[in-house]
This record gives sequence, C-alpha cells and structure tokens, in this order.
Amino acid sequence: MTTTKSDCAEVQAAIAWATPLTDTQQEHLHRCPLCRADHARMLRLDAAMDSALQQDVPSGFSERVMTAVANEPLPQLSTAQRLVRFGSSDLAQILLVLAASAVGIGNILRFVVVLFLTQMAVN
Amino acid sequence: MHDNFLVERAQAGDSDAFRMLVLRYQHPLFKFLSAYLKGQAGIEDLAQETFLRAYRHIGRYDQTRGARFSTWLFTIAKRLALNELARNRPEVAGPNVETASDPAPLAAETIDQQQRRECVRAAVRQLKEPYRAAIVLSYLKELSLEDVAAIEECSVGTIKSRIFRGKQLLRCVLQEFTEVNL
Repeated sequence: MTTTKSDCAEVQAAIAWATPLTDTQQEHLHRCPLCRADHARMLRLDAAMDSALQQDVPSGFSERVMTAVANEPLPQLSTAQRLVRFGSSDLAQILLVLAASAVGIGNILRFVVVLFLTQMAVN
Repeated sequence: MHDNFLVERAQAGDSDAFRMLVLRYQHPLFKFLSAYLKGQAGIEDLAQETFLRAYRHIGRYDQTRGARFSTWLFTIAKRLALNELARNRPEVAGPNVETASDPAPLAAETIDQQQRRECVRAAVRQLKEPYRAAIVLSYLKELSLEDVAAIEECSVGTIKSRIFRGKQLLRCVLQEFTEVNL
C-alpha cells in the first residue's frame, strides 16, 4: 500500500484538531514515519499547552464576584423574560393556587345551585 | 444542573443559580485569560469583569436562539481581553521577560517546568488573532469545535484550519524560544 501526501495531510490535520482518527487514518499513522513523528510532536505540544494553561483560581474568587453581583441592580429583562420571572415567583404560585381554588369552589357552588333548582322544579 | 436551567433561574433573579455558573466556569475562564494577560491580578480583574458583564446582560442572553451560555460567556471574555490588550499593548503583548533579558535561546535542559510553562504562554501571547483564540479555546475541554466556531463567529471548517495553522505557528515560536522541537 502506498502513502500519498494527501493521506499525510489528512491524518496530520485530524491530529491537530484532536478529532478521533478513522481506522484508515490509524492504519496510515501506524506505517508512516512522518505522521508518527508529527503525532509525537503534537502530543508534546498538547502536554505543554495543558501545563501552560493551568491557572489556579484564587481562593475566594467566586465570593468576590457574588459580592460585586449583590451591588448590581437586577438583570434587565425583556417582557417575555419578565413573564417567566413572574411565573416562577412565590406570589405567582400563590395567585395561581387561589385562582384554581376559586374556580373549583365556583364549580361546586354552581353544581349545588343547579341541583337545588332542579330539585325545586321537580317538586 | 444544566446551564439553561441555571441561566433561567439567574434571569429570574436567583443569585445562587448565578453563583453555580461562576463556580462552573471560573476555572476555564482563568485558563483562557492566562493566554492573553500576564499576572494573576490582571487575570482575576478581567475574569471578575466578565462575570459581572454576564450578570448585567443576562437578560439579553436568549437560549432559544441556540447559543450556549459557555459560548456567550467566552465571547464576552475574549472581547474584554482584546480591549485590554489594545489599551495596554506594550505591557501585556510585548516579548516575554526571559527572552527580553537574554536574547540567546534557552537550552532545553536549563528550562525548568515553571520557565517552560511561561515560555509556552509567552509563545501563545505572540500568536496573532484569530489563531490565538482558536488554539486556546480548542484546549478548553468545556468547549467543542462547534462552540469555538460560535465564539469566533465562523464556520467549523474555518476554525479547523485556524487550529491547524495556529499549531504550526506555535511550534515555530516555541522552537525559537526554547530550541525544543515541538
């Protein structure tokens, strides 16, 4: 089986993108010394980058952010988002329960009244 | 808990939900900003400003448009970092201190881990946009190639070519700095 430049380019690009290699690409990597060398260099680069990008988060950082957030006004919302906010508030849930209760009581009263009127009419 | 749920709660004024988002993204955000700025204090200031801006404008974030919270957050961070670089170019984007004081390349065996790490960071800072952003974002495990493309406002194909080219450039810069063949 021959190795072409386009095979190498394809494999080296996949290695650079860190995407999984296909079986054909794995096979190519196994038998192509150029691509194996590139792969080894890329692994070293990845390790160096992973190490270089290690940046500790200072202790108490999230608390400092939240202290600053507490001094901010509430987020500005669109009308739709205001409705969502109102819908998820305790007041909205209480109002919903009261409204449901009122409808339920109303239905029971209506049933009783209809029953009573029907009874009167029969008598 | 899913980001979207936390964002909805944060939009509804739930600060605990926003705190969870801060805890979830503080580490990758620090990693990302370390590729742009030198010094812990500067990175912390910018990370805090990123979260504050996100909080102030979280009402504008609309998850129904398909963008993920992470891509929105890193877009804010990148803009702030680039503004900071533009404002303070000589200090943050200049050559790294080791190479400035000693123009001769450092021999591989004399570079300890800390110096090596700083060399790599300096090399990354020397990369030009858009290669720097594409490379650094691609090393954040929290982001997929699609996320990186969304942050960079380009196609996944374009991001792939920037990563490929950027890594080649990074190898060249590192080789100059350290004489280490990466």
